[in-house]
Amino acid sequence: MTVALSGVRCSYRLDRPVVTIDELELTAGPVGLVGVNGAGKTTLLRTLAGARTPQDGTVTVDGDDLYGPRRRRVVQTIGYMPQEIQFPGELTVTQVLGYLCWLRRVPSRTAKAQSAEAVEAVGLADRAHQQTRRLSGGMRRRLALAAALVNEPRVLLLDEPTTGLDPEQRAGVREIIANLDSRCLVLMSSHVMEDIASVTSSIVVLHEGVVRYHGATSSFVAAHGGPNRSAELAFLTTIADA
Amino acid sequence: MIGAQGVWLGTARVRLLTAAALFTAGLPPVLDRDLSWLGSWKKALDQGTFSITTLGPVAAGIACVVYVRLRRSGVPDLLSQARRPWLGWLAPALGVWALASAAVLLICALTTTAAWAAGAHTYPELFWVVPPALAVLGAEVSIGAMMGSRIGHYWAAPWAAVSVFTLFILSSVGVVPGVFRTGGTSGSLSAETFAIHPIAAQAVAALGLGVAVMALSHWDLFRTSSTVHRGMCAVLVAAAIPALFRLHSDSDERYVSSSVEYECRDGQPTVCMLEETTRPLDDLAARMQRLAGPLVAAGVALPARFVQKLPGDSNLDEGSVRLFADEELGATVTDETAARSLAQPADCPAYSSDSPEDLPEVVFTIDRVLTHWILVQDGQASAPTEGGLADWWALPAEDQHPWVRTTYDALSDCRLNALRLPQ
Amino acid sequence: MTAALQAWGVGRVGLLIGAAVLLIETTATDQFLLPTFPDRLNGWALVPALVALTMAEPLVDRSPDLTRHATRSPVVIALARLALAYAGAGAVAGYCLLSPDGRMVAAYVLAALSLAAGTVALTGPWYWVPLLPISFAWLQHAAGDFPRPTFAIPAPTLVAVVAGSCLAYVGASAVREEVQRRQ
Repeated sequence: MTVALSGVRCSYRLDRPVVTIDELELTAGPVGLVGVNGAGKTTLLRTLAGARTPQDGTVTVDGDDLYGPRRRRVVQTIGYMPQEIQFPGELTVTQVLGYLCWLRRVPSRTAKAQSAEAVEAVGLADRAHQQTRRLSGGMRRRLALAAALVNEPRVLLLDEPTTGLDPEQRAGVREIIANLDSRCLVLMSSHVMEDIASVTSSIVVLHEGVVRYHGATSSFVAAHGGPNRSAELAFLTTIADA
Repeated sequence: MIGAQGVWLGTARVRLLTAAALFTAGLPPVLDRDLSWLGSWKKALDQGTFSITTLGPVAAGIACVVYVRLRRSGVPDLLSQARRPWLGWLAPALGVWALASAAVLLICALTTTAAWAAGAHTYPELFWVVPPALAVLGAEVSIGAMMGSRIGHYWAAPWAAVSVFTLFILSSVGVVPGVFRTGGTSGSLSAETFAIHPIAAQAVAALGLGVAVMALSHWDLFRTSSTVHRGMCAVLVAAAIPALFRLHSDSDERYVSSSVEYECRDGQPTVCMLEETTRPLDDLAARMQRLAGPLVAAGVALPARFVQKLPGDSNLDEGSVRLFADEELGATVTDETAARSLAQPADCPAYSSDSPEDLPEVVFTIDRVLTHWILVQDGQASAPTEGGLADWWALPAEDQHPWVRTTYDALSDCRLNALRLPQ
Repeated sequence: MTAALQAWGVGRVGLLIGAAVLLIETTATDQFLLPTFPDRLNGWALVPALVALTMAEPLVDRSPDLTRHATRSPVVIALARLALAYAGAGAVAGYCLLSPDGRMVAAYVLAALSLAAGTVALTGPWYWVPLLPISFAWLQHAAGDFPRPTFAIPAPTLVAVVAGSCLAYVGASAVREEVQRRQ
């Protein structure tokens, strides 16, 4: 599974691009996306999710243009967990996932099983029939992750999936990501360098919308993390040099 | 406090748009048919407060949306830590109510100003009916807020609007006490005014209802308010109960008779109308004075004054200005209306009788013939060439004068049984 | 599909059908006097107005965060929503047909939902704000006379109105999705 960006420019105002990426190729496996607030991480993730058309450039998923005529078919292979998501409070966890299966054209014969699998994967099996308004903040984050997983995506985009979770829940999310099919590309943004360093095999550092580093996470930490091999120091050094 | 209201109602632009939407929502009850309220300032004011009929449900829906947002935001938990939690909870509802009230006041100002500009006599002291109407609006907003807070879903907004609109209908047909009816009389309100007691009872009932409903919208926060606050609320709710009972029995007594004042236009004859509805007076007087010419030429003794009468009144010495409701409020009248009034030189008690002995059937035919004769003499209508009276209509005017004189004299003296059709 | 119907409030639609039947049985055949209405108002006139105000709810997207993840065409989603709303209104219209005088009302129930669908296309979740004054204006217009033969909607007109509103709603849904993707 390969996602490639070429000459991508995203902007909210014509004179100020938020993301400018000349070339970037992401391959299967867990990839970390790091950057300070406002670096353009969410805009990039939304663009990769097919939810925001870039002003210029192309995004391809295994060679298929994400914003081309086969867009819907390509998006079908992508799962996206946004930073914030509002679920209809009166629906249960199972109903929400069932609705998402319908929206994402998961065949009805497999929808039930896939929903159950996603619920199981995020550890919400015992809450499957609970209304979403009764879920805690952490549980809602996990439901959002289940929503991204429900169509068994080959590209999974997670926007700060561990925010708002306690240490145990964060470990749980890391475990989920580690257990995903190795052929699946997982792009995960986070402020917590510890999460990124422990889960991902490669890393993308985004600063002011431009890719400052893309390579193996271990090399990144080794090269920039000082004698203690601190992921956080590696990140800070990289953006300071930019 | 103001800041807290503002946050939940959006930016200044959003608030302005909300007020504009509320204003627009209040217009349909005002822009009914031919804007007849232009002819009566009292009716214009009544119609202005009646705008709450559609504006109130929209305000309730907006309040519902605001409280759904408020509840979903988790702010109520923060409010419980505030110095005045209950006021913080009330603030958004007060904000919606303030915007809606501004829209109602603007509509009332527009209707009454338009009526004044159209020539209606003004009664600014009657503006006291507006605050009770705004209290009703407050109760409607509180219902929306309560539904939003309790249901917690945006789909509740149209339901809140429909519920409040249904309450208006049920109030108007008397199924529930008339708390939610805020005007909309079909009469002209001439020689009438707003009844203080039922409207005061309505205001008390609306306030009590509003307070009770807001308390139910977040009972836990309400309980944290000061004893004085809770005591005041309890007093209002307690006062609302007898007020509701009073409204249930007096739902149709929103208006009562008032002193009768006339405005006149001198001439032959002098024409007088009730002070509230003088809009068509100039036109009516001019037409009646012109159309009186043929009657004078026929030698009849016209009454000195023609006066717009109230139901139940009778006066043998004065003619009757006979107007239908639409004519009373219109800017102009027709020659037929003027002729119809001239054809009744006295307001005989027998006109309100159901007995054919007091009010013979022929009176109605003679009334039509005399009215038509006046119009024919003025060139506004042509004489019938068919029917039982065709021969009489064909006579020269001088030959018709004796019948006109005799008939008019009998009508002036209320000798209705002496009336005969032309031979 | 069941999950989608649940998310759009199929339960509430069922409740509304029940409420509409109750209204028809208890009030619609009555006449009552309302302020400013010169004639007595036939209860039937309330039915299309209330259907428009409440039955259009499934047409409003109350969970846009989820819809953003859809890979189904917005046209298909919009048509499915319309199907649910029209099924509800159709059930009420069907019940009207069983009642005396109801034939004319049935056409108005569908026309009223069409108007609501058009309003949803224009104003989204705030559709009920313009609908309320429009409903009042309708009651004023129809006071005392509805349902009478003079109110009959010719079948081709009804079909055109329903089709036109569906087109407007579906078109607006597609445009909205495209605009969101470009923001």
